[in-house]
Amino acid sequence: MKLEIKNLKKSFEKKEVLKDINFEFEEGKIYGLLGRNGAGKTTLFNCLNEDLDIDSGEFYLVDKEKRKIESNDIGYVLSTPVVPEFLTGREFLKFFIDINKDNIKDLKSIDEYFDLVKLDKDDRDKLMKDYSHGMKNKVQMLVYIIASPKVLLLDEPLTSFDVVVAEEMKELLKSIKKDHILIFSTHIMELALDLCDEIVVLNKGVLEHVDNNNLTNKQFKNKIIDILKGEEDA
Amino acid sequence: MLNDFLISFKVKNAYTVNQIIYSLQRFPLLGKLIPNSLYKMKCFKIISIIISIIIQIVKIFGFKLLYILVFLIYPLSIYQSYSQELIIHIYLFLALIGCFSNTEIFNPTKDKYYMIVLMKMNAKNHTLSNFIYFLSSIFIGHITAMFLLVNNIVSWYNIILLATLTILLKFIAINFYFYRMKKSNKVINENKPSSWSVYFGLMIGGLALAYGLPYFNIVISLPIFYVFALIVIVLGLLSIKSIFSYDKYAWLYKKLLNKDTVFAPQQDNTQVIATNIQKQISVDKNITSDKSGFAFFHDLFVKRHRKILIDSAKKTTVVILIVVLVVAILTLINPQIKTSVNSFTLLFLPYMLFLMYFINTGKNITNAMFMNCDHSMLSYRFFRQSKTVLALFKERLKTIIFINLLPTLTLAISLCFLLFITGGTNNYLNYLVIFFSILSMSIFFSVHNLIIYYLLQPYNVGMEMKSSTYTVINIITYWACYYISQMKVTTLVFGSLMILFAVIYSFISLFLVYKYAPKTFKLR
Repeated sequence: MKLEIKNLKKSFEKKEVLKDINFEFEEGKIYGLLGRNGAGKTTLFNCLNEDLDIDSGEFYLVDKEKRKIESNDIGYVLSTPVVPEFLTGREFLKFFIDINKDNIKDLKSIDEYFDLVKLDKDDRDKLMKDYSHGMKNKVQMLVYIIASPKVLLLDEPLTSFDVVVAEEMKELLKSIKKDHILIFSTHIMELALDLCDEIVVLNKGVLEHVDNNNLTNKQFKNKIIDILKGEEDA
Repeated sequence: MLNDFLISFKVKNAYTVNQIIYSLQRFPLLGKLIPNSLYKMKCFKIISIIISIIIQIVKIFGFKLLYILVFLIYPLSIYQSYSQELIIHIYLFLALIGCFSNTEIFNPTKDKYYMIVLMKMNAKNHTLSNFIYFLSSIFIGHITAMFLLVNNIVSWYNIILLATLTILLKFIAINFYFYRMKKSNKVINENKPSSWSVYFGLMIGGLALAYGLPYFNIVISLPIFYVFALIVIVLGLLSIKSIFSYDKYAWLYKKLLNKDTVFAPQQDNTQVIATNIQKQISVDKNITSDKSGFAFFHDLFVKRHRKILIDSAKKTTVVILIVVLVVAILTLINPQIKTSVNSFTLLFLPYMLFLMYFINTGKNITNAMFMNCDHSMLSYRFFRQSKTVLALFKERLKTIIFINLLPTLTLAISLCFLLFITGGTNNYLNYLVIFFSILSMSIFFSVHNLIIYYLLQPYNVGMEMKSSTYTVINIITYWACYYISQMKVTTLVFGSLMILFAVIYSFISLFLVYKYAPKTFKLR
């Protein structure tokens, strides 16, 4: 399965944020999306998640044949986690499972899901208004792990975790990548290099794959920075 | 110093213009025509400088004229006395109140925050230059207004003297505040007195002395006024020096100007409401639900928000019952009241619409729904799917109608009851029409509040209200209800039309929600 983007364009007034995005994201890989501040990473995610209408172009899934992306196909994990605070973690998951049960494959028990992200037993039945940032983030992530959408967009999702949890989450993402397309946006290059299989740079409205080409880690980093600075040919 | 004043004037002007453009851009339809490039257009800035200057002139002359009219001329007309002493008496006490409550120097404004904190302008230069402008505008404004309005009563030299005293009293008050700050080492904020009761006590005391004493024919006589003036002039002149030589303005504003003091009072209420509503979530561990899916989700929402959702409806019901009981007892005691209540109940229906507008809790409920639920849930795509949006809409509509049913039924039955015990009506259809039209009004408002929330979802991620259409529709609803309540129509006609309208409106709006809400119900 592939996620194909063809000639995607998006402008705000006269500012062309996404000029001409063409890319194929493949299943089973984690893509690290790098870009400078204001490069349009979030805009790209918002377009793919259909939160924003695109100006032109198209994007679709190719699963034997080309098909439109449905709601169930895509998940978007926001950097600032938002959860309904009047529910407990368990109630939220129950609600989510209730209304999505037709689409969930190999449904597990709620506690098994909580175990997956290592949410403390005591916290599972607490109102989420008393959850820490990291705990909310775990629940948000969990919802998408349960739904298991084909494409998962992750916007700086690890920044709120402490080092231990961040490490656990990285392992979790690696473990689910087999059947998914994971696109992971971050500012932290080390994180991208450590976690992601492919590095994609969004620069001047264009998405560009950065080939590793057997470079050393340092050379690869320099290459990425050159692209980000717009000095690729220098 | 003049330069400092001009710079701060220009900056103030710049962000006033930007605010105007920003709010214009948020207007429905018109907003789309206004490009961002307007921000950098020179001619727009020049026009706005001219507008700013006009506003300043209106402020200096217009406001002062209004001030003298409302606080001096109007009370004089009540007393039917236009003596010079009375004017001086009232004016002096008002000036005394004003000198402590409006000093300009101790007022933490956005302008000062931008100029002194953000742009690092010299605090003393900025303060004093603006202060001189502030005093000059008061002086000129007051003299002009007084000459125009009370010249035939107060002599010209007393007018000038009064305006001068207004200024000098401010100097004295500021000097007094400096003294108090030095003693207590606490910064004074004129908008946040250390004790509100003392503040209001002094204000009310001052007003009582200004307007109350003349009632007992006690006014400050001219000789006492001159002695008082002499003292103020001496103290005032002494204070001027210390205000101009005060060297801790930078320290003062560092303490006085922070986000809480400068922005909190003007902040959009939304943030405050949001925090309050978040606090209303019940932490009762026994609250559970045996339902599933949307019903489960919605059930828990209602149960955990019992306080804001149901309690206000209950309170309204109790108030209605008490009022009806009192009226019922009065009609039994006094036959005159009985007949007037009887005719009133038959004419009351149009007013009922206005009353129902206020009683209906739909708007509070949708507020709570957004702040505590949809704000977070709308970022999940599954929550925005048509079937989810509509399923939850159905649950919510039922709840809102149901919650509002309690006060509505009470009101409808009460009105029929009052009609009955005061002699009834020849046409029994009136009972039915009263009952059902009140019911239909309640359902109308419940539907209306929920559908405009679904069709116009007015908030953005930051919980700020971003839809001017939503505001405009709310204003129109208010005025429509007001005008309809002024109509003089018989119960039968009005009631039947109301029922018909509510039914048609509900059907049309439900159709619109089912057609458009899946697209419109999202974060702005």
